[in-house]
Amino acid sequence: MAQNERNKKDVTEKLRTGSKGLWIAFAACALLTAIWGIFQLITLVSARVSANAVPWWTAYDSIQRIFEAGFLAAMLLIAAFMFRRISFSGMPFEEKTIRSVRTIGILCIIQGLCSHLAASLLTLSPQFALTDLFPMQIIAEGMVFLFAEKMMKYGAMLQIESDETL
Amino acid sequence: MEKNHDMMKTSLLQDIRKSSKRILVFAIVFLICELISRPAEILYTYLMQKKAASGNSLSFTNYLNAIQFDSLPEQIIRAVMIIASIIALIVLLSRIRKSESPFQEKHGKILQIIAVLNAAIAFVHVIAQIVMRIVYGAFEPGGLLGYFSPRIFSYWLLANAAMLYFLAWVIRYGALLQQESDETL
Repeated sequence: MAQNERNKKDVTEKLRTGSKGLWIAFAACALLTAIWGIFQLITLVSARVSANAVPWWTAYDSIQRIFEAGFLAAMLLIAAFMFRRISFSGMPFEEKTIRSVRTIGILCIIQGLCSHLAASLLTLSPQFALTDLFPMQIIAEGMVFLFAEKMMKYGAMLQIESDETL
Repeated sequence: MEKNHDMMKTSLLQDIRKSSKRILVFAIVFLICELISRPAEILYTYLMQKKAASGNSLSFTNYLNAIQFDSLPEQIIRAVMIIASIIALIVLLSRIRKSESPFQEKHGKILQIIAVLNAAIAFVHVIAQIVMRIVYGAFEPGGLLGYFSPRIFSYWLLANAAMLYFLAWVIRYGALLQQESDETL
């Protein structure tokens, strides 16, 4: 029992120190991604203003990049705040943390389903390859995060049990 | 109160098992798609490179083609890593389905392997791009940062790997809580 308590303290300490570095890295990445997305948007708008017509493949690529950057910046920012919370408390099974994991999962799936589809619809491009329209990797990642949310809910119940025992 | 808590735990466990079944099916479909598309992509690259290199020596256009269609070793390494990470995910999900608790030390280790593979996939493309340019003698000393642009270096994949690695530690913490809970009962 005492050994288990010591292990728990070790893991909590590792989670706390790990999250400290991660929240700064994720916040920086979110900022960079947002800047990159804005740069893509400005490039697309200025190309549309200076030229009468932008080729569909250029517009398709730009719209897809803007969508990707928007979603990624949002996900990275949510993750950064989640890590910041954990770096203070050291407790991963909290209501807000669980909600953050779920939001990241949902955003992942929306990004996977929408970014290529939106680019195809907005540019009326003839790109209809299913694997391009629905990138399975990011959808799978989203599903893993949604699954992790369920596991964390169970973990929260174990945490309550542990706190009550103590 | 105690009874209610136990009932909630049981229903959550059932929910976890059901969800793991759904994701398992998706992961298997994903694996089949990758097993078909990746070798096809590698074969296409091989044929294109063979066509490009059919002359006496690689011309500048052919060299550009070789870079444009990605290097063959890079594609093979990436394909192996992606398929390995999907297989690891399938193993993890089927283990969770069969085990009594989702929190086990081994589950954390498998998730760590998936995280490391994801991080490696993020770096493979950058390293391959740099190596390709060194091999073809087109390496520009000042242009190294260019290979770390978001289109070449996947920040999301690296961030995803960091999150999965973190989740692996969360599972380890959960395993300790589970052990404590079992000992109390």
